[in-house]
Amino acid sequence: MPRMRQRAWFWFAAIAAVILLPVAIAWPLGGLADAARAEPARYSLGQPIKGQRHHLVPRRAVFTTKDPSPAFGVPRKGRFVVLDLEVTNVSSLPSLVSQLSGTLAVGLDGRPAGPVLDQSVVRAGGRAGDVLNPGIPETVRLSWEVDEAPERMSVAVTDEVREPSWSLLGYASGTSLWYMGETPMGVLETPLERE
Amino acid sequence: MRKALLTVGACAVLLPLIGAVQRLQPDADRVYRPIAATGRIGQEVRTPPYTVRVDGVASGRELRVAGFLGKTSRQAAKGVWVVVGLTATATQEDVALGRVTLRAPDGRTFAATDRFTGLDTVTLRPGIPVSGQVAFELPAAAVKGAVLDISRPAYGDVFRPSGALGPAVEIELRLDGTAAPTVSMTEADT
Repeated sequence: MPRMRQRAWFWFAAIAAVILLPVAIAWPLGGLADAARAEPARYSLGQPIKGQRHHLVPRRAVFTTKDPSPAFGVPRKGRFVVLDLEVTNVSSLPSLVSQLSGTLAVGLDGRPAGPVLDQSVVRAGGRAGDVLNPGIPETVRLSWEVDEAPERMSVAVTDEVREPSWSLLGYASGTSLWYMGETPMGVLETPLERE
Repeated sequence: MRKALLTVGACAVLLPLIGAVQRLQPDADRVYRPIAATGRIGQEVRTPPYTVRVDGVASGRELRVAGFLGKTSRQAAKGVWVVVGLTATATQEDVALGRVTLRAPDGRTFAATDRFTGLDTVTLRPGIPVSGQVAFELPAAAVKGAVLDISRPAYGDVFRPSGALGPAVEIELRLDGTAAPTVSMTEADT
């Protein structure tokens, strides 16, 4: 009986050593500390930002007192910031400008830009639209009304991935949906042009 | 010893078999996809909310649009325009076609253009056939073999986030990938 107990203790100690050894090595070397977050890449105008759903090329960021999207042809008075992007939907499904703008966090002089005033596909000789079809490059214009005249704009772009959904209700659970990443994949930093 | 060998052999056969069966199981996107009634050009395809017939299809590099009050415009495409002529009839209640798309053989799906008003947005009245067109702008490489998909019928203000297991129409358009210089459509009167 004492011999069996001795053997049990031996195995217990051996298994504990196997489990604790990697921890004992990794801990002093800093292996248990939180990994440093990867800083999002910095972009400027003209540089492509490539995601899994959209490829964006920021073309122009401007502060203007001219209404960029007059309703029924009647321009509003005010101050506006306008961002023009060349966007290609690289997924296999159509998307909307409103879905794209949901992945952009826009800051003006370090403060959040507030709600978008207007967002649409700009088409020469045609009506503005919302649909971005796969493989068709489009010019997308986003605009904001501002109180002051900001100098700089930053746009944090978060990528989206298409993954099986999960639902407690069960119905249609597992069908694919687009999900936004937790951190931005890139940040556009640019001074605002004056118009 | 023999029993042990039999067990190992059975495991060696059954494990890959289980893996193969799991791979054959359709994914959720396939399981919940809309239930499509299929047809061909000129044939009336029936679903519970409406019947749809493709009257004709044409593709071109430029679109000539006849708008309201006789106003016409020309629209160049970044790819190719495909114009599908349709006749649709609601069966029981007011309904619009809903989500009208072209599906290319490579799996890419293209929504109807939102530059002009097409038949996809028109409210259909029960028993009254309505003819019109829907235009698509898509890359030239995606045109050949494209299939017309119609799903998610739109009833008034009812919002349907998904067309899971709903009615759908699927019609092969038999496009050969060639494009005429110009193709025409008339905007729908909503």
